[in-house]
Amino acid sequence: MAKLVDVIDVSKIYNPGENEVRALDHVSLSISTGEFVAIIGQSGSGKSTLMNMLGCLDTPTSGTYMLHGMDVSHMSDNEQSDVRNREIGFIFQGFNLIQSLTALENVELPLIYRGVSRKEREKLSVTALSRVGLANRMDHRPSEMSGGQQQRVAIARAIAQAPPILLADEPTGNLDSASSREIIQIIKELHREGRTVILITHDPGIAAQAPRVITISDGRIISDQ
Amino acid sequence: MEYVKSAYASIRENKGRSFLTMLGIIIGISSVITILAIGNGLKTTVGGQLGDIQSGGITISIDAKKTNKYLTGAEVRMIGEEIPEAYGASPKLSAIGEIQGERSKLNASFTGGNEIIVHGQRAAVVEGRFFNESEAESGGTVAVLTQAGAVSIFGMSGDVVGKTFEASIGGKTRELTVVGLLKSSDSEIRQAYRNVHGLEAMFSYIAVHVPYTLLTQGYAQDGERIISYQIFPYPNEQDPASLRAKRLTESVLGLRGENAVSIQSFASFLDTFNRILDVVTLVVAFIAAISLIVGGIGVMNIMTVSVTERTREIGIRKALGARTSSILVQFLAESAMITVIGGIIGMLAGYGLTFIVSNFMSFPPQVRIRDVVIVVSISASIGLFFGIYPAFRAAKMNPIEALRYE
Repeated sequence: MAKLVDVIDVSKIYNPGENEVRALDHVSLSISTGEFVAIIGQSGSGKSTLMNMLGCLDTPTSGTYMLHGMDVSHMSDNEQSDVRNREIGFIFQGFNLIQSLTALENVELPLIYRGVSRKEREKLSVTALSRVGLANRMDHRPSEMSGGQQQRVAIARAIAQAPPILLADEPTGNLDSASSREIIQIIKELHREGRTVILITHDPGIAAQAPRVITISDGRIISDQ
Repeated sequence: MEYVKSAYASIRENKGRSFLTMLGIIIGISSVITILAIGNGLKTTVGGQLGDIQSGGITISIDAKKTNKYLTGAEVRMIGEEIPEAYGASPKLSAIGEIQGERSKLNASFTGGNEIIVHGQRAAVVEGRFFNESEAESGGTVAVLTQAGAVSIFGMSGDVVGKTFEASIGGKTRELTVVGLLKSSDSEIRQAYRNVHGLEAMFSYIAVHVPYTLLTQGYAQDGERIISYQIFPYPNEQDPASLRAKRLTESVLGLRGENAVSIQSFASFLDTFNRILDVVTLVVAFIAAISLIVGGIGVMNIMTVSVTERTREIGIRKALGARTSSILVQFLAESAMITVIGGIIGMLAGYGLTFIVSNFMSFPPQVRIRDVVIVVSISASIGLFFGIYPAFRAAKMNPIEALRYE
């Protein structure tokens, strides 16, 4: 299988100098197309830094990150924006929906930045919202929806333009157990449909749902099975 | 288009705050509009009134500092007859006095000339006639009124030829006979009636044309020694006529080459007047425009607050692939929209204010399309200029920190 994500000897150091923090310490990691990987670690383990790196939100201090065959470790802000838009669908712990926009408008957002035409945008967004079972909630604003529904809108937003990677950062962290099961179920389905899913969590129960679990501690990968 | 929609949505989201921010722009734009409109209206009205008084006449003056020579009325008449490009020349004397009206004394402004001065009147003689040469040269106790003046004195705008009234200048009172009436505009006549009926007290002078000899002999006013007179050129002959008048005057008085005779055309006077008024209008408008800058700072302030409040939104947008420029344009569109909406409201308010003011000041405001275009572009530029700082702050945010912001 082709390598989709290839992290080669990446380090991230904050505050270089005496009080430096090695958030990532010579990490190497590859993920192939169609995999479902859980990255697990305690808070402060460096998993958030890794997630920011994988999501092209941050650049490494040293090392190389190849995404889809491109070296994204030394890109400019705008190039990174384009890569995020094209390659990655984010699902965040706090949903991160824009409160002033409706569910449909939130889902359309990445498509707008991609320059998709209005008609096409609407079609893709409606399809994505139907996929997560929210066809009847399209004109609702986030404040009018439950947490589980908001997270489903966020998932719709992440899959609307069918990016190669779904990057879920503690997607169930703010949800009750029923909604959590529902969300994990949707994510598993999306994986079965052929998407590459990277799930970041601190909960071993959730991580166990994934065929491959990478454990990170003190900025290093300590197990990968 | 998406940016405009998103800007509009965000302004609606914060209606009250957006309106308060607009208020500064509204006040600034409306005061600038009002001042410009009043300035333009004033220019047209005053220019028109001065034009009515003076139309066509060019003043030839002898500089009293350079010579003590002067002309007589007969010499002025003779110079006028020697200018083929003009109707002729007339002395022009002015005096302020009073007329005994039916109920009270009225202020009056007397203009003395010979019969040629009729060519300086834009208004036609609608009743009777202008005074003639023999009346002009013999101190005839005759007068030509305007219709509005007739309303003030006799309470009627016509049928007054042959009537008499008492006019006093410098303590001397004479009884003058009306020989003719000059046309007044309908609004002037209406105004005069309102004054007569005490509906509206306007401080105004009744214009009376009389023979210049009446002023010098009948009222013993200065003016036997004429050092300034007017010529009335045919259309488009102003320049040759005034040059010839200057030369003739110099040769009659033996002042050739002494540069003691000058020409003051009314057109150049009006020009100067308009220039001064333009400068005054601009200066006042500029002072009003300072409030626009204050308004712009208000916009900058509120946009900065808005950017901080929406840090998380900016983080989300960036994570989803918004480029720096997308965020920049989004916030610039928002601040420009606030100021343009403010500018349009301010413009409407300004015109409303102008119409109210013009009701009190009896001249029509001038609304020009050019001003509208300028106002919209100025308010858009204010929005863009004062939006730059907050928009840059937004665009430069680090997505990770922005997403973490609570």
